[in-house]
Amino acid sequence: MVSKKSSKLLIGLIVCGIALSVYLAFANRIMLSFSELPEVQEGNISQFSTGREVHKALDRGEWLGGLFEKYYFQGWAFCETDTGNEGKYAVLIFKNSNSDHCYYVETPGSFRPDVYGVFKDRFNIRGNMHGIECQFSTVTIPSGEYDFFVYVKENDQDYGIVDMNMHFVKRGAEFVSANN
Amino acid sequence: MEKKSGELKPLIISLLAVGFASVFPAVFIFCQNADEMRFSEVASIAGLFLMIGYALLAIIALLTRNISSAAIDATVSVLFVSNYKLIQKLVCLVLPDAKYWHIVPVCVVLLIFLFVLLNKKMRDDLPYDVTKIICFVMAGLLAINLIPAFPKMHQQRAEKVNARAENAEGPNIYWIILDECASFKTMHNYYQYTDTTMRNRFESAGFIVSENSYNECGNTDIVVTNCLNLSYAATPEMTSAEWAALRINPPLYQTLMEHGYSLNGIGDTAWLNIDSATTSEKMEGHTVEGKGAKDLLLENTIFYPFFQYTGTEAASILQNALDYMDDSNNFVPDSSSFYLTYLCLPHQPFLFDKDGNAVSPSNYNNWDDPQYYLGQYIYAMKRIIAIAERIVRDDPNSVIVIGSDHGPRFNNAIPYAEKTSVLLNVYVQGRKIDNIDGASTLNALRSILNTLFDCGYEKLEAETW
Repeated sequence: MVSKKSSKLLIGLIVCGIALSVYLAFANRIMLSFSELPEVQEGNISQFSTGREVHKALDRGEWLGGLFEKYYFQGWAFCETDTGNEGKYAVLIFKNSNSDHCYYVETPGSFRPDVYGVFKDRFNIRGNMHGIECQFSTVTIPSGEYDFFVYVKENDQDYGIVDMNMHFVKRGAEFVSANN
Repeated sequence: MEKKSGELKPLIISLLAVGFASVFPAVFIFCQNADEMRFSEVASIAGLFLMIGYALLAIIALLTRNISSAAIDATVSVLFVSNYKLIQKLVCLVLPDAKYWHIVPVCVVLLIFLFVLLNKKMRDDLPYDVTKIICFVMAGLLAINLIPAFPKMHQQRAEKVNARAENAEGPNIYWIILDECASFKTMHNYYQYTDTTMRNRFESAGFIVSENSYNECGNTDIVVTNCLNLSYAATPEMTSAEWAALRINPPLYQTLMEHGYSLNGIGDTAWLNIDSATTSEKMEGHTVEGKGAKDLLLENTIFYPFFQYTGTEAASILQNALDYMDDSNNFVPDSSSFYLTYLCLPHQPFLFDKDGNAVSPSNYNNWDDPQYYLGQYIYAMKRIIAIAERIVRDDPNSVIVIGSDHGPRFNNAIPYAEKTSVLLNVYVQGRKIDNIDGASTLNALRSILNTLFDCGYEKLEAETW
């Protein structure tokens, strides 16, 4: 015969156990909601259509780590365009090396007048917002190997995707470029 | 009376056990590095751990109504708090995707279960005996570490005194270059920013604040190379390789070395051909990763994510240089030392806001919105003023030049001519000297060398490119 006190304790323990399990299952999402980092989404590489040629360079890729396992990219990318590109954005895409499954993060173009200055006579480049400056959390990217692509959307007509020829490895809390 | 002393003994033993366990990590780090550091560097962390230990002891004692049991639980908790990183590493060996926010709550729940179990199962007199053992073991560990450290502490003090005595010679010269730093006039006219306190603090410290200083152009390579050459040797027609060649053993370095000066770099000075003291492997009292004692202590604790540096490398170089200059232990007054500091600040990328907090990466190069340059400018000036005041206080016989190469170049509201308006604040041993107000940085350096070494340099006619 189980006493009333013991059965209450048992119910309490079960409730706490369930609450802890639910928290653990969603902990990554809950914690990331407190960060100001852009959301890393899941998708398929085929959703990013090939269009124009993308001119690009990666200036810096830096593992910053920390609680949110941050990575920092600095570079630039653009497609030639004749029309306005006020809403220009870039997408950093990490495609699983063994499938078309990918993780991606969107970032608005940042101010890089030097890029416009260098290419204005050679390409049909518009505006100054060609920079890619992005920090994002790698927490939700599972361990594995990834190829790095950049998708650029100048406007609805002019966009493109390019293979940056970089390979990344996610191992536990680390996200490192295998090219280094 | 007898009963009272019987109650007091477990309390004292409990306080000692928790106290010893709490301060042990800080004492251990200090003792291992006693020849390189002072106890004050870890005292705040030791104090923090002590507070945590006693807070836990008080809470658990209230819950259990047994001070000895509470001491055991508090000691285990303190060990968990101060060595958490090790536990996380072990867990991640088995579960590589486990994060901080998974491991901490699970460990806390397990510890609570463990404490409840221990308190129920231990016989009445056992907690006191265990507390006594903990107290003696921790006291022994502290003694083992502290006793060999005492001679090292004494040796460090003696070496520092000797270094000061041997090197006491000419006045130190500090030249701090703030890349892209606007003059007070530019900040007032184009950023609508006027802070008279900044200017007043410089003047109160004995600086000559030049209001109308202009350099020859908006190119850092040319301006700084010319300063090092004490002439307009570098011109816009030259290639960057030719400018670099002019920076090899330039006249400024030669003059200083002829007068017995040592050349010391701070910040990014490799391109100026001086080794920097703030590259991480050269920072005294720091590991090869540039970590100080506080970092080493905190990085193992449960609080590590909140103290971990997660800024970019560029921000780290700047912060290291500013922190280095802020620490009087890195400088020996009147030791014929030339300290050349180059900081890519408030130059883009705009990494800091006015309080030194990180800026969102999408605004690192945002010249369109003036708040980003302004924020980084304010932060830079706050730090530099504090550093200038520290140098004047610790090394009043020194010479300090705080200047920029050019003003903000990518603000389209500023006409080109005004972009070469520069910050120039000069301190010469607390004296007022002529030919600084309105001088270019190059002419100001020539005047300073004339004052110090009677070089006989004429004032150069201003060039503009």
